[in-house]
Amino acid sequence: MIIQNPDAFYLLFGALLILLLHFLRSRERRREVSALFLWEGLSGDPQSKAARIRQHIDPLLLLQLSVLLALAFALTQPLLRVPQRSISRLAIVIDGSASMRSRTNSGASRYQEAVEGAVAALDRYPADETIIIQFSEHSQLSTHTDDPSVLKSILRSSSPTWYGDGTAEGLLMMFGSVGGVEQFDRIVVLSDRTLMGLPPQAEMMLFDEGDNIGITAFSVRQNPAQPGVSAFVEILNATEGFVNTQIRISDGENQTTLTLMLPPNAVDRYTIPFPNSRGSVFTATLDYPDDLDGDNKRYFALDRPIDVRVFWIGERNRYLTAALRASVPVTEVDDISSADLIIVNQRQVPSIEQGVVLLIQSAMDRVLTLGEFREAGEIVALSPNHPLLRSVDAGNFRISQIAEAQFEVPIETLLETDGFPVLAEYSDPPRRLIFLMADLMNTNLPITVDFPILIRNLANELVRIPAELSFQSLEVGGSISLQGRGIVRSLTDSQDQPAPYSKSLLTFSPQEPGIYTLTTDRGGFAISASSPASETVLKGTSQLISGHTEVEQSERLYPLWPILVGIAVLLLLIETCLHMGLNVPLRRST
Amino acid sequence: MPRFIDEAFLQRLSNLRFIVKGRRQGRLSGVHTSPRAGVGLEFADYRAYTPGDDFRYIDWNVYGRLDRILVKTFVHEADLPIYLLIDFSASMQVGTPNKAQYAAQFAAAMAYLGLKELDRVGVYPFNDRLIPGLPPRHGMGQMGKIIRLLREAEPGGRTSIDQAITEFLSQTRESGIVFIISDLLGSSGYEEGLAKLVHRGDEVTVIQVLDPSDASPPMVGTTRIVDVESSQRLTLTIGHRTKEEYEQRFREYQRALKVFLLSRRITHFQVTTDRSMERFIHEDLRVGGVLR
Repeated sequence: MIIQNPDAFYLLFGALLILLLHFLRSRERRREVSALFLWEGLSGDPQSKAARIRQHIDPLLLLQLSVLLALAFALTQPLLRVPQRSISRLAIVIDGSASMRSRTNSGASRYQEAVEGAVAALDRYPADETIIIQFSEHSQLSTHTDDPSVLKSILRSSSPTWYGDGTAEGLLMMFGSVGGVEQFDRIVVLSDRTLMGLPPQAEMMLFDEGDNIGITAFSVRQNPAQPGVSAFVEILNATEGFVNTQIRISDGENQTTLTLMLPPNAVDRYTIPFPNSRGSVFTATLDYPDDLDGDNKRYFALDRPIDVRVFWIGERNRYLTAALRASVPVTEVDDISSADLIIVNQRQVPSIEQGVVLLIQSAMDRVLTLGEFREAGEIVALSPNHPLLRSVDAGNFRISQIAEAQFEVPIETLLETDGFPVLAEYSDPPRRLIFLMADLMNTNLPITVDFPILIRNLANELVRIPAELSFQSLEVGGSISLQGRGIVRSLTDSQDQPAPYSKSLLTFSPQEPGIYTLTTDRGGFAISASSPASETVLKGTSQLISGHTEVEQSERLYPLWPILVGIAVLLLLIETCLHMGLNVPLRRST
Repeated sequence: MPRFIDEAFLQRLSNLRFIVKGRRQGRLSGVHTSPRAGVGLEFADYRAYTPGDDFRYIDWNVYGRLDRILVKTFVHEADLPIYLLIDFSASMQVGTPNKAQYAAQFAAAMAYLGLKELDRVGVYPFNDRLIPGLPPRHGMGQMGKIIRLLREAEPGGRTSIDQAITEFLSQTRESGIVFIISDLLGSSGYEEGLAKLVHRGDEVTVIQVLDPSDASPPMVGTTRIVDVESSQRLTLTIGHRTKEEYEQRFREYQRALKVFLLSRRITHFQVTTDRSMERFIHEDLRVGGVLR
């Protein structure tokens, strides 16, 4: 209790005045009777001590002193510290990241213990409205409800995810979607790591018990000069002692093993040769019975290169074909609609409305009309930083003659000679046109070192094969684009069950670790997803061990003066009633 | 200000009437039988006709059989004076409601019953002597005077029933129905006065009005007990034992009172102020043979 104005206690000296007035008054207890002769001769009862005290204590005096005490106490403006038990809005934030799957000494997982902690928090803080946030890299908000049984049922039926840890900032953003943290009187966070930057009304319950060893990185690359592959693994020993274990690298058919001695609380990296491997999908498994199984296995899929489908109109140029094949896998197709790149060589073609088109000394209706041929001079790069000219030295290019051209569309000239465009671009999505105004055979381009570079740029830039096509390092919770590998037919998990993905955005975010198979019209692609390496964590450095709750009991300060004034008024009313004689029994007795 | 007496309450008493145990002599016609033969409904006797008698009362059947002219006489239905002697001594102000108030309301009820039956009703307040009251009159005009008197009377003074009755007898010569309404807790005695009343031939009914604390005082610890009449004081610790002793003494007092009243054939009723007056009148007085 806090006394804000202790000087008000001086008012208690007023009790002296009340006592003085009391003793100045006649304090005789009288009882009038009809006939005294019936009482004469009676000896009377022996007087008890309590009776003697009662005789000398006037209830009115007691009431007056009580009123004075209540008023004096009220004027001190006391504030009562009350543990905040009944609150209006409660938020339960339970860590649902993969590390919460760790087993504790009791045999239950951290998540199960956190659920019980959350249930206890629900009992401890009965609230008008409660939300439950399963907190992770992708936090989820449970339905608002005020029914504790429903909340407990939701908690007990939930399970941890394979996602990585969320951040305090992410949590605050999640609260922002429900009105902000200030809307909540109490926020109970149950996690296996201490979150910094939480609001003051938050309390942490830490569940960080358990030993763990995990693979935090795994990749495979093909040996450049010899058959087979080499695997790279990074292993974290988050225990307090040396661990003797074994790691297995498997491609589904063959496997290789390595025995390891892992130092305590340290990260070790190993390169493991796997010469007899012929597969493209790999699994690294750590044979150690620790408290978190999820990070004892990691997956890796070698990327299968995608070919560029080319449709030719006109005579095929073998130099160009060779340059393309040197840059990317190339497949020539007969259907213009399935082509990634359309090459028009010295032809007049109708307007092509979509796709990437390379026109080599060719005309196109409503776009370009070729005129007379003329001798070309020095080649000048007008846009040397253009992606098509990246690492290309145009000064080595020589052209004997070019065709004068009349463009009906606005173009961007990349190379020119004597004011005439040699290489130009027109972009009008979904159509993109590249104009080379010279016959390749009338140039020295095929024999220059810059020509393959130009064609590689052309292939990479025009066909726009996505850079994120590499699926190797995907972790649960991460997201990849499925575009660029053809028309998606299906996406299945390792049990050949359909895996959810965004069909509109063509993105995939795996929810569990494993090997997924993407099937498109260009074949199958393996996608590996491992548990987040961040979940292979060291034991918490906090002194708070599982089972102990870091409960910083917040308190509410209740002003007591209204209650005290109310008591004083009530006592005054009682005293008035007694004084006015409304209390009949007392009146009769006196 | 609360009404002194409720008209509805009086209406509920209207079917009651006094029972007179003996034949009383009255001056005016009433509903009470008189020892004098006269005009009435109840046949009394025959007597020889004398000139001046009412021809309507000649029994012609007897004349036919006996050849004698006889006149029928009837029980004279006479009015009786009803005297209400009400104790307004200081002891009657004890209690809430106090005994004087209860006694006054009871007296008003009895006056109403008497006046309704065409009796004459007189009211005589007293303490240690007779306070000027109202001599017996009939008619409802008397009721207003009685109520005014009872409402304005203030208890005070000591009690002397003997002295009050002596003065009453000196003021009234006609016997009648006498109600003495008092707590009978005066120390000066009541025997002599009541005996004089009975001796004159009055039909006496004593209504002893008591406060509940008169019979059973509360245990209030050490208390200064004050006699409201004499202002004499006595300091006592009223506990369980003293309370029992007092109650035993009170019972003995009441027993002596009853023995005396019984010996004088005086009807006695004891009522406490916490008892409903209507029930007291309807139940106790009817069972006790005062009303029917």
